[in-house]
Parts: sequence; structure tokens; C-alpha cells
Amino acid sequence: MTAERRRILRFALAFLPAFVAAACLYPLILPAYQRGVFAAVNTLLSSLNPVSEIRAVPAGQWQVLVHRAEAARVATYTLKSDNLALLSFFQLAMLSALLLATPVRVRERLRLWVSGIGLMFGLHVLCVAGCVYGMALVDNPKGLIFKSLPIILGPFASGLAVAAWGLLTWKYWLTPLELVANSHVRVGRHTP
Amino acid sequence: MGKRSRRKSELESPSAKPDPTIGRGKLVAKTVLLFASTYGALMTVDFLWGAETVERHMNNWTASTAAWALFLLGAHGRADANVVQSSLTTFNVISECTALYPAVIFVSAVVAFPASLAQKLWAMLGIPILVIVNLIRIVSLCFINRWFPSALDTAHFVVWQSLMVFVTVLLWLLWATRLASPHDRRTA
Repeated sequence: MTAERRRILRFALAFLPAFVAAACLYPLILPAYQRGVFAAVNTLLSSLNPVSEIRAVPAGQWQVLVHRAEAARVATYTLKSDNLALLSFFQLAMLSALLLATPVRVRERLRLWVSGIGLMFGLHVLCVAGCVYGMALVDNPKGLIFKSLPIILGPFASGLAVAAWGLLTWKYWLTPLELVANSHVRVGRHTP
Repeated sequence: MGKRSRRKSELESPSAKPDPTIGRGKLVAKTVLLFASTYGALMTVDFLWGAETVERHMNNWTASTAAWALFLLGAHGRADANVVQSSLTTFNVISECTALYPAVIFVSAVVAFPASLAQKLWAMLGIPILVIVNLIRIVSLCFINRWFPSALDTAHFVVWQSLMVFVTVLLWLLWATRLASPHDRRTA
């Protein structure tokens, strides 16, 4: 077995307990995390036109309010999925497990995890703000684009979480390939 | 030592060992940007035009294969378009239930990685693996719904969603590091 294969095996074996821990903690921190994301989203949206905001209702659904000054009305849209928060922010548990399973020293894993959580928070704010502002701009609940906007929250955010993982951990996985890629570049540039 | 002085000393003594860190930042930035662009483009295409074409067929096909798997396991599964009925549960297959989104992540990561076209095409063998893992996901959720209904939401929205992304990441790592392994063997 090559050294790279061994590292991947260590990564896979470390992922399982890391994910179990993250999945157990995730429902506990979700309410506070959602509040933090919504506060940041609403701060961002208050500076855009039309002004919109998002809030959670007691039933667990999300409500989008759009303030239309010209029509002097407030449009309200409800995102009706019962498990919206669970589904929209699960990348937090997944990314945590991926980063904590990276086969490096413990201190480095914790540093990666802190960076990853910060990055994921920013990405979640952008995704939720994008979805809400998109709804405010389209303002047609029967339209296909309006109905499809929540795709930003789950599937699109998953891709961003993978990009965040790649951005934070590439140097632990790709060193041999970089040497190969760079050696090709150097032959072209420095051959007399 | 800064980048410019490193390059200068390299030119002055060409026999010196090349610094492998030169160009690394550009390679990573290019790869991440290419991933984000490819992923964004594929999701946008699906968002605008995929609902009535690709997604509908994927949903129906996933429902059929899930029904077939449930039938083989003795759960009397049958499918009608995207609706699966069985002795365990009845459910609708939507696009998030298929392997479409993990496959889009995987394809974007393969396209972004610096490799030849032949190697990238070879990587597409990972897509059937994602489809099989997704089938296992759907069947397991049916059994969880029957025997542990209180755990269904967590299993559905957190555990299996994350595991699908993890399998996607793992498949990509196995392919990308396999491209490095001929280099490893030469230098071993």
C-alpha cells in the first residue's frame, strides 16, 4: 500500500468518530448558529433594495419579509420545509468531521477546524442572503425560479463546503502532484 | 527569502534544486476557481433547465431502482413514476434523493484537477459508485423509518447527506492520489 493510500485510510477511519461527535453536537448548537446566521444576513440585506429580512417562526419554518416602499406593502413568503434548518446548515457537521479527520497533528486539525467553521459561517450567510434577496427580486411565488431558489440552501451549500475543505487542506494531500506539475512548467521556462 | 529573490538565485545557479513552492499558489487558486465555476455552471444549468428533463428522469429511475432493491429485500417494493411504495413506507423521490448533486460535486472536482482528459474520463467510473451508495442510502432510510422513526430526520438530513459528500470526497481523493502514485513509485 502506498503512503498516499495509507493516509487516505487514516482519514476515512478518523472521519467516522469525528462525524459521530459532530452529528451529536450539531442539533444542540443549531438554534444559536441559526440566530447568528440570520442576524448577519439581516444586517447585509438591510443595505440592499428592496429591503428584506428573514426570521424563524415557532413552527421551525423560515419566513421571508420583503418591504416594498413603492407599493407600501410587506410581502411575506414562508419556506415550508419542516427540517429546513437541519438541512440548510448540516455542512457544519460534515465540514467539521472532514477537517478534524485530516491526517495531521492535533493542533493543526483544531486550527483547520476553527478556520473551517468561520469560513462556513460566511458561506452560509451568503447562501441564505442570496436565497432571500433572490426571492425579493423575483417576487413571484408561482414562478419556477422563485420555487427553485431554496436549492441554494442545501445542495449548493454542500458544494461550497467541499470547496472550503479543498481550500483549507490541499497542501496535506497534493504535494507529490504539485512537484510533478511544477516540474513540467519549469522545463518549459528554463530550457536553454 | 521573497519570491523574486528566490527566482533570481535560481537563474544565477541553474544547477540548484528548483523550489517546489513556486507556482503552488497559482495552481491552487486556479483549481479552486475552476471547481467553483464548473459547479456553479452545472447547478445553474440544472436550476434553469434541468427540472423537466434530467431531474424528472433521474427521480423516476432512482424510484424504480429503489423499488427493485426493496422488492429483492422482501419489502414488496414497486414504483409509479417517482413514488415508491413498499411494506416499509411510501415516499416520493425528489432530486435531493438522487445521486445528482453528489455527482455534480464529483464531476466539478475532477474537471478542476490538473489531469489529462483520458484520466478525467476514467474518473467518471466514480459516478456509478455514487449511484450505488445513494441506493443503499434510500433503502436504509426505509428501514430506519420502519424500525426507528424518531431517528429518521437526523439520519435523512444530517447523517446520510454528510456521508454522501464524504464518499464523493473519498472517491476524488482516491483518483487524484492515484495520479500521483506513478511519481511515488519512481522515487521510492
